[in-house]
Amino acid sequence: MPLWMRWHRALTEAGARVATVCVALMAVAYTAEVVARYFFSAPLNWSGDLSGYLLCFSVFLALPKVTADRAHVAVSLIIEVMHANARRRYLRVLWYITAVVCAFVTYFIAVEGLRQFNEHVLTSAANQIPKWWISAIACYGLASAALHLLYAQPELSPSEGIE
Amino acid sequence: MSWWAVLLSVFGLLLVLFATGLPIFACFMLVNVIAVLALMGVAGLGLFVNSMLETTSNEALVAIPLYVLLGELLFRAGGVTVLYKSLNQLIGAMPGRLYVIAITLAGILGAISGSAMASVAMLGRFIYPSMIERGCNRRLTIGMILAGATLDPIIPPSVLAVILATLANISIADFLIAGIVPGVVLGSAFAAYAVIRTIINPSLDSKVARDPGERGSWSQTVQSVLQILPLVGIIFLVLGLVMFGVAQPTEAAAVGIFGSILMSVLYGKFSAKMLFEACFGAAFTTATILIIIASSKLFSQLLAFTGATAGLIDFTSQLEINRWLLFFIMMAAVFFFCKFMDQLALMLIAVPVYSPLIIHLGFDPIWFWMLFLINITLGGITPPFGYTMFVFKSVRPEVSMTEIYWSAAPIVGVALMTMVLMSIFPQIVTWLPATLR
Repeated sequence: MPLWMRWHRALTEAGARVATVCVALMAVAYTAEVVARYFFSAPLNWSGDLSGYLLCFSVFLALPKVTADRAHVAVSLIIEVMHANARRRYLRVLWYITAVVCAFVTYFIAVEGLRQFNEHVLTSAANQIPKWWISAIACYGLASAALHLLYAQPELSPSEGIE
Repeated sequence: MSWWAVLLSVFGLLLVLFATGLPIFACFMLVNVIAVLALMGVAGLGLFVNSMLETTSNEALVAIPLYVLLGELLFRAGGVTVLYKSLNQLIGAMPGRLYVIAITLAGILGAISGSAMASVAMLGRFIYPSMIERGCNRRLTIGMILAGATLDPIIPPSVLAVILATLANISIADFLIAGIVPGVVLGSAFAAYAVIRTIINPSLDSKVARDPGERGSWSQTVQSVLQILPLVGIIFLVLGLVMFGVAQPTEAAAVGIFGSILMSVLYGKFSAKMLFEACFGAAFTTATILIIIASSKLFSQLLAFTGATAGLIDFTSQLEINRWLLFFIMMAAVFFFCKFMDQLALMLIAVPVYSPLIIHLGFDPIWFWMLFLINITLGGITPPFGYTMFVFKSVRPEVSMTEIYWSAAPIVGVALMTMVLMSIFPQIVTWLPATLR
C-alpha cells in the first residue's frame, strides 16, 4: 500500500477518535446543563451551542471512517442478486459516482468557506464562531470520503458495500 | 412545469437512484444539486451548502447522538443477561410462557437499543437456541422474535422516533411518550397471539418444564426484581423526566447516559474501553444518519419552492373522496415502499409530502406519525424484502428464508389488526401525551 494511502487511513482513524471524543463532550455538556439548571438554578448559555458545533465536527470527522468501512445506508436489492464479478465491477462504478458527487459538493463548500473567511462571517448562534471552521471540517470529511471511494477495492462478500 | 410533473420527476429520479444501490446520502445530494442548478443556477448552490452545514450543527439534532449513546451504554452494561434471568424468575407458569418471556424481553430491549435490527440479532443469537432446545415451535419462536423487534422503534426512548419527530416538526417529548401505550398494546397483542395458539395447540408450547432453579421462591423473586431495578430504573428515569416536563428530551438522555455509566459500574462491566467503544459506536451511527438528513434537508424546501407541495394540497382539497380513504392510500404506499427501502430514506421522502397533507386533512400529527412509525417498522418484517428478516437469517443461517417468511406472515397480520384498532381508537396513541401535556 502506498505511503499516502497509509497516511490517509491513519488520518481517518484519528478523525474517528476525535469524533468519538466530540460525542462524549456533547454528553458532558448536556449533563453540566442539567446540573447547573436543576441544582444551582443557573442555566448555562453555552452548552447548546457547543453541542451543535461538536455535532457538526463529529459527523464530518467520522464520515471518512463510515465510508472506509462501507457502512453507508443503501438499497442493495440489485447488488445482492448480481454475480460476484459483476457485483465487483458495479460497486466500483457506484463508488466512483459517489466520489464524484462528494468531490463536487466539497468544491462548493470550499468556495462558500472562502467567502465566509474573506467576509469574516460568524455563525448565527448566541456563542459565535467563524463559520469557515464548520465549512473547513465539512470539506475535510467529504473530500476524505471521496478519496476512500476512489481507491477502495470491492471485496466479494455478498454484503460488501451495503447495509 | 406543473406541480405533478415536478413531484413525479423528482420522486421518480430519487427512486431510480435508490434502486441503483447508490448510498442514500449521495442520491439526495445528486437530486438536490440537479434541482438547484435547474431552478436557480450555480448561484443557488450556496443554499444547498448552507442547508447541509446548518443541519449538521443544529442543536435540536444533538438528541440523536445522545439517544444512540444511551442505547449503546445500556446494551454494553450487561443488563441483557440479567434481564433474561430475572424475567425467567418473574414470569410464572402459563401457556406459551417462553414466548411471553421473549416478547417482554424484546420490549425492554427495545427501550434499551431502539433498533429492530440490533434486537433481532441479539434475540436470534441469545434466545432462539434456548427456546428451540426447550421444544418451542420453530416458526412461532421466529415469529415472536421478529414481532419483538417491531416494538423497538416504538417503545421509548427510541432514536427513530426522535428522528421522525424532528423531521415532522412535532414535539419530541410528546412523540416519545405517545409510543408507550401503542408499544404495550402491540406487545400484548403479540403475546396474546402466542398464548392463544399454544392453548389451541399445546404441541407448539415448550416441551421442557421450568427448571427448578427458575421456579422462584420469594427471596429469589425479590432478588430478581432488585437485579433489574437499575436497568428499568434508568429507562423510567429518562421517560419520567420527559413525561413530567422536568427536562428536555436531550437533557433526559444526558441524565440517562450518566445513570447507565453508574449501572455498568454496578454490574461490573465498566471500563475505559467499554466507554470508548460506546462513544465510538454512537459517533459512527450518528455520522451515518446525519449525513443523510443533511443531504436531504433542501429537498422539502425545494418541493415547497417549486409549488409542488401547494399543488398537491390544492389537488387533494378538490378531490371529493373520504379523508379516510386518503389515509388508507398514504399508509398503503408506506407499507409497500418500506419493504424495498431503508426506513430513514422513506421518512425523508414521505415527511415533506405527508406533513402539509395531514394538517390539511385534519389528522392529529402525533397519531398519524405514530402509525407511520409502526408501519415502516412493520415493513422490516414483511415478506419478501423486509430487512429485519435478513438480519435474523444472517445470525441463524440454518433457518431457511421460506420458514422465516411463514413465521413473519401471521405477525404482520396481528400488527395490521392492531394498527386498524389504533386508527379506529386514536386515543390509544393520543391519550397519554394529551393527559401529560
